[in-house]
Amino acid sequence: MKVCYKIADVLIEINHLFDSVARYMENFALKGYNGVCDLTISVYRADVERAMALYETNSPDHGECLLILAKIAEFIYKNKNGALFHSSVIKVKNKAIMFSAPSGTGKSTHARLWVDSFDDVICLNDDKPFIRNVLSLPICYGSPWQGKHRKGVNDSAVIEAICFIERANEPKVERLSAKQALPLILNQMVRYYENENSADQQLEFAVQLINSVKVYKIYVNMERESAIAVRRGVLGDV
Amino acid sequence: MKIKEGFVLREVLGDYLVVAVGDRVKEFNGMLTLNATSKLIFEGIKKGLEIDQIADLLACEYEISKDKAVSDVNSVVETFKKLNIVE
Repeated sequence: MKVCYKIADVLIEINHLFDSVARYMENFALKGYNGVCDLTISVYRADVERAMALYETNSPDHGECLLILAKIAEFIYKNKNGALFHSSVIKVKNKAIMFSAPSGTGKSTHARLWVDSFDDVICLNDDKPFIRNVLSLPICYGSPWQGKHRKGVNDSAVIEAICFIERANEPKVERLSAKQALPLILNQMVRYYENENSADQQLEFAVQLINSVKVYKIYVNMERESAIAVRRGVLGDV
Repeated sequence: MKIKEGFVLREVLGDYLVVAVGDRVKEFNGMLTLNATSKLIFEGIKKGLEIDQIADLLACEYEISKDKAVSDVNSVVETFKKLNIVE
């Protein structure tokens, strides 16, 4: 099954092995588009089997899904000045605020607190958005990979802030320096250090990102007061 | 003693970082931040210098005794060994 998609402003033609994966990605499909694409991915059974072993999954369609994600992430990194950035992202006032943390820390929970607490907030992507540097603007894009709760939309926004979450009893917001931000940012990006040039390219991308967004450490609990405190610290409008 | 192939030193935002590239990423997926002393030692090993020669550089650069310099170099080299950066 052949479908064209637009993900992170990149046109991608995918020859799927499993229709279920096309359904999973359908919100990003360009229906009726038959023009030239930036990237073509043809999924073969042998690739899926390798992906299943690599990502330790027994599900062939999940294997295809992760294989496609890996190929798109690599293309965007190598050709489109971007990266996959593991995080939960909200959109508020046309700006993206990204919440990042190791799995299980509560980035989805904190994003949900914002959505539940404020009328002007939507979840842009709950797990694997892309970021790109477009004309010196840091843009965050939703993707079909929206986490276990499948929350997200086909949309994008300029990144206002990246917040690294830590659990705490009392909410608190700290602005990080560029040096403090660098290891945290690099840890959340899929790395393609194939050689010295590709490592340099990704380090340069991380520096560009840090120089164009505000980076915070946020200490949050599970209560609404955390969303209010972080919004006050990051946007200053509540 | 030498720095294993695949470890590179970069200055990023004023910090000295050691990252792995190529196949080395499989065993070292983090990064190491070096201070000025350990950066000098890393570069010395990379150039193929012996511990004694690196200690001379260190003693000269920081105006410390040769004994102190040798001790500092050995200490940093031990850390590099623990992290499997040198062989």
